[in-house]
Amino acid sequence: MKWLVALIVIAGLLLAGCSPPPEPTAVGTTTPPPELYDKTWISPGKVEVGNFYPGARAEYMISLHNGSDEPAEFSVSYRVSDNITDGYEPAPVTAEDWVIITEPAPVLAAKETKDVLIAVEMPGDAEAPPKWEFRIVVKDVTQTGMVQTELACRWLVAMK
Amino acid sequence: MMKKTLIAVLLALALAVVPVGSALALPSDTVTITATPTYISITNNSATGNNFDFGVIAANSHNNTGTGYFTVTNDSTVNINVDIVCDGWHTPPTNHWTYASPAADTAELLASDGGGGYGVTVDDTTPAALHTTATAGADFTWELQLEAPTSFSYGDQQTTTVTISAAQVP
Repeated sequence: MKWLVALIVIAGLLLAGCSPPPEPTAVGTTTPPPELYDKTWISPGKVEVGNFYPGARAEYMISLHNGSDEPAEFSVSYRVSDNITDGYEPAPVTAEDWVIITEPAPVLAAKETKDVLIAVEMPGDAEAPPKWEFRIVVKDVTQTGMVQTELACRWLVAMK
Repeated sequence: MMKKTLIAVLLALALAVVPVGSALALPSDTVTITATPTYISITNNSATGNNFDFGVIAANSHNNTGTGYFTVTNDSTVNINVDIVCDGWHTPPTNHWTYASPAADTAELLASDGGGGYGVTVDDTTPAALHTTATAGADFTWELQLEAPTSFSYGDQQTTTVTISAAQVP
C-alpha cells in the first residue's frame, strides 16, 4: 500500500512538471482608439516570432480597418524591405513561399474591421538566418491619384 | 490480489505519463508569438489632393512640387518610418519613358521630407526611406521632383503612381 501511495505521489509530481506548452502570447488588447474609427489602419505594427525552426508554423491575425465611407478592396501582400530592424537580415528569397496570406484581397464595407490570418510555414529542409524580417503590406487598391498610401506590419523572426 | 492491483496501477500510470512525457520535449520547440496592439495609419494630401501635374517640361531640366507640398497625416499610435516607391512610367499603350537616371527618353523622380533637398531617389522597384521617424501622431511634409530626360523621341504624357509605405519603427 505504501508503494502505491509513493507511486501516486511520484506520478503527481511528474504530471505537475509536465504542464502544457505556453500558448503564443499576444500582449494587451486589440481595441483601437476611438479617434481611428474614421481612419484606415492596420494592427499590430509588429509581430515577433521567437524560437522558430525548420518545420515550424507560426500564425497571427492582422486586423485592418476601412475608415472610409465607401466599401474598399485591399491587397494584403508579402514584402521584403531594405529598411530592417538592427540585428535582423532580410528574409531569404524563398521565404515568400513560406508565408500564407489567407485572404490577399479582402473587401471591407465602410468602417468595417476585418482580421486576416497570416501564417509562416517553414519547410523542414529550409534554411534561414538566425534573425530575419519581412513585411506584410496592406493597400487600399480603390485609391486613386498619383500618390497612394500603404501600411506595413513588420514580422521579426528569431530562429531557435 | 495486491500484485494485480499494483500492476494495474502501474499500467494506468504509464499510460498517463507516456503521452505527457512526450510533451516534455515541446516547450523547447514551442514557437512564441508576441505582438503589441499598435495601430499604423497615415493619409496623404496636398492642395491638389493626391495628384501633381509637372506640366510640360524641357529636356535636361527638372521641375518640382515645391518644398513641403504634400502632407502626411500620421494617426499611428507608435513612431513610424515611411518608405517611397513608384511603379515606373506608363503611358498606354506605348511610347513610355524608361524609369532610371536621366538619359534619352529616361527620367526619374527624387523626393525629400520637407527640406527641399530632393536627396531621395524614388526607385521603381525597391522602396527607399523617405522619412526615418515620424513620432506617433506627428504629421510631416514632403516633396517630389521630376528629373527630365536628356532628350525626347516622343511627347506623350507620362504617368506614374507613387506609393508611400508606413511601418512601425524598428
